[in-house]
Amino acid sequence: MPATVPHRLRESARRPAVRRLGRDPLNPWQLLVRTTSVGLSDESLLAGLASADPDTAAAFVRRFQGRVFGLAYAIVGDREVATEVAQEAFVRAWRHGAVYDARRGTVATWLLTITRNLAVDAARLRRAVPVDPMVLSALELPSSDPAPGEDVVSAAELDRLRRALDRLPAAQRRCLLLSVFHGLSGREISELDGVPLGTVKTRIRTALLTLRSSLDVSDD
Amino acid sequence: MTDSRRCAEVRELAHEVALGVASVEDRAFVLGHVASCADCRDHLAELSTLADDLLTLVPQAEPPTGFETAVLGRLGGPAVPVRRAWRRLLGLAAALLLVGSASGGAVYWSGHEDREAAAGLRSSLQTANGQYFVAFALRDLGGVQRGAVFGYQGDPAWMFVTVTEVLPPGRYAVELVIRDGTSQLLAAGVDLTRSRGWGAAIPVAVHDARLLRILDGDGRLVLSARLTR
Ligand SMILES: [Zn+2]
Repeated sequence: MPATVPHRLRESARRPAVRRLGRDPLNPWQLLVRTTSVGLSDESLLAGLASADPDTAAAFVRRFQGRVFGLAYAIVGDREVATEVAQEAFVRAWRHGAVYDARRGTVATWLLTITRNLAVDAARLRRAVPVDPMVLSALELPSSDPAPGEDVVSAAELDRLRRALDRLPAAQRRCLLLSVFHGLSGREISELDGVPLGTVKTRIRTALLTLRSSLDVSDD
Repeated sequence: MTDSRRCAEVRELAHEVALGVASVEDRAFVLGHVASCADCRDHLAELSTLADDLLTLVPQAEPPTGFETAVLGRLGGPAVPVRRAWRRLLGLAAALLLVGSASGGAVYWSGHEDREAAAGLRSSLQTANGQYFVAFALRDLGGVQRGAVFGYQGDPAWMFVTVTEVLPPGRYAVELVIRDGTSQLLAAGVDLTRSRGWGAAIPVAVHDARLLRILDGDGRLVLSARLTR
């Protein structure tokens, strides 16, 4: 719907906000150009959100609400709580948009990290024990096609990550996901599953290193 | 030159730091080391990126109808639960007089409103599962008091900053220095010129915070409060 985008925003979006892949050897993963169907990068939308431009704020919420709500729901397992968490995540993104640092990750991962932290806190307040973490089954679903506006290069990379995750031994995957999505420390997982702390720590570390090396190999 | 034994210890702990589940002590140890060790810093950055990317694997889900409108309606105001709590407590804060002392700050009650204020505090604390309410002097670089920091240890814990002196126009950052020496940015782009007050839920317990600092747009320290007695 390019017609709904204010002209001055389309102008500013043409400025290359992010360097192109390959030009900067420092961090190819994070320097992908994310151009969208409406011509606005994630970064431009975030800048609009932070400056309280109503059109851009609405576009920002529309672009990310499915992912933010999906993650919140996967963690807390309750639609009402997930709605509250997801709303708060957007409010925080709006308040902290000025401190977003493109060198540390994409807008999507930044927003999802905020969501994850809020959801973990909410789940802890409700004392929800993730014996059968919702997220474990959610991840079994086939990956959704990238939405319009999403970066396709990064989607391919994420697909490799998903497949590498599927190949992990079940015990390693469970420990890793309990940490990533439920914020459980090694000690907490050890108590929850009745497994020695050292074993849990080894499983998480091995899982992360395996994922990392699987991405390295595919990069050739 | 790197200290390989220390690097090995850091590699043992780096994954928990990357996943955000390390203890405060482990986190401080790892962050302290990577400040001066590029190899471990790269290792930690790689694991952190990986951990963050895992979050994007969760399938999208359709939020309830009216979600977008509700979010847009909330932009422009502080977090709702916090606002409710601090509105109540600001009335109470007005009944408090702040007494600066060389070692920090202390609170006493202003004369005839003692009993009413004490009852108000008790009920306010109960409302949000609070444990205590404290206040500290906010001073400029010359040590002159320019405002106050109110801390509420509850669920959530929060702080409210007031400035009595008009600050130069601009956007300010508010940060907390925690017991382990790390600092946490609470907010950036705060307008203290017009509002003369700002508050937010804080990510640590009030008693774990050591300093609150207010920096100007160029990162220069403008005001600070020692949060210990
Ligand atoms: Zn090292």
